[in-house]
Amino acid sequence: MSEYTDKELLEMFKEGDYKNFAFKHIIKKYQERLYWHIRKIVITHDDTDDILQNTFIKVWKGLDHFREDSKLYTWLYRIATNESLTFLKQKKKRQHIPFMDVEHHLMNTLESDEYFNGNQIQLKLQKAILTLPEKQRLVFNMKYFDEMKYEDMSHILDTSVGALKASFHHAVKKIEKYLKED
Amino acid sequence: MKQDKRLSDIGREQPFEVPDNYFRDLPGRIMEQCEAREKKRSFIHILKPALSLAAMFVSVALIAYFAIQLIDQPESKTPYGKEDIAEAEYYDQYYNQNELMENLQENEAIQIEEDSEKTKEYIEYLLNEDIDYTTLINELKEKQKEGKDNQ
Repeated sequence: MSEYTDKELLEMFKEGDYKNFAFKHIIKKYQERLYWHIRKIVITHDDTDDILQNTFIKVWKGLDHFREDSKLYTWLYRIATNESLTFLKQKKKRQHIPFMDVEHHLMNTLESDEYFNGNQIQLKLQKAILTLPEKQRLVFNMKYFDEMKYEDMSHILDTSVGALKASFHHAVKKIEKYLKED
Repeated sequence: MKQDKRLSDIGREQPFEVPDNYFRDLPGRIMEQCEAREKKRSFIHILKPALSLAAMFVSVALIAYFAIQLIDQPESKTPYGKEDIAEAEYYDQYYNQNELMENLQENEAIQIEEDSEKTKEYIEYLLNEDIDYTTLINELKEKQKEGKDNQ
């Protein structure tokens, strides 16, 4: 997608003359990965679109102060994850959804979403993922669909590699159990 | 392991779709918002020194105004005139109520004494001239008549 490395894009952004050019390339480079990451958390396209735009606006504001001791893409994922979780918390408050019914609410959203194109078994897998606790859901999606390294996930979710492996293991077991039912 | 196979049978494909040209248009939409934000920020950045200076002038003017008000207050708002102050100073020489009362009584006594002396003088004159009360009244009436006739 982009012929520039993250380091080159960051240098161009910070120099100022090519700020917009560099940022447009950063968006192009990471928009799809971040979109699918957010979409798996909040399910609907419209909510994902809002969160993704907010994520990039926050990146625009904070990129001048970005310390290059972490990778750009883990930093982007971290912002996107926080934005998505904050969005879900606000949605619970706004719509007065009881804490235990959030996943049920998301399942209904999944079934009525015009941009869901999966077959019955894929729908069942998504429903199974929605039965997981929030942290396990994040870990499962990032590992199973995005095939992300545990080390990178550790930076994004601020959790140890061991805890992440355990979370993924429990998540897989719960999903298998759900898929075997019915 | 049997469970893992079943999960892997489903595949890792995304079951979601996005509207047509979504990823083509998204960078432009985001850049528009970022640039609008940047313009707003730079506008504020340009105005900031001028606004700070204006705020400083207004603050100095307000402080000066209130300071002048505070200095002017005692004279302009005093409820007493110069006459009141003179009177107060007059009474102030009598440092207590007893002295004031004594002084007033003294003044009154002098006045009575002066009046009684004048009365004595009138009586002595009438006696010396041998003028009785009826004659005095008649003479006064005649003088009044003469006065009217002359007019």
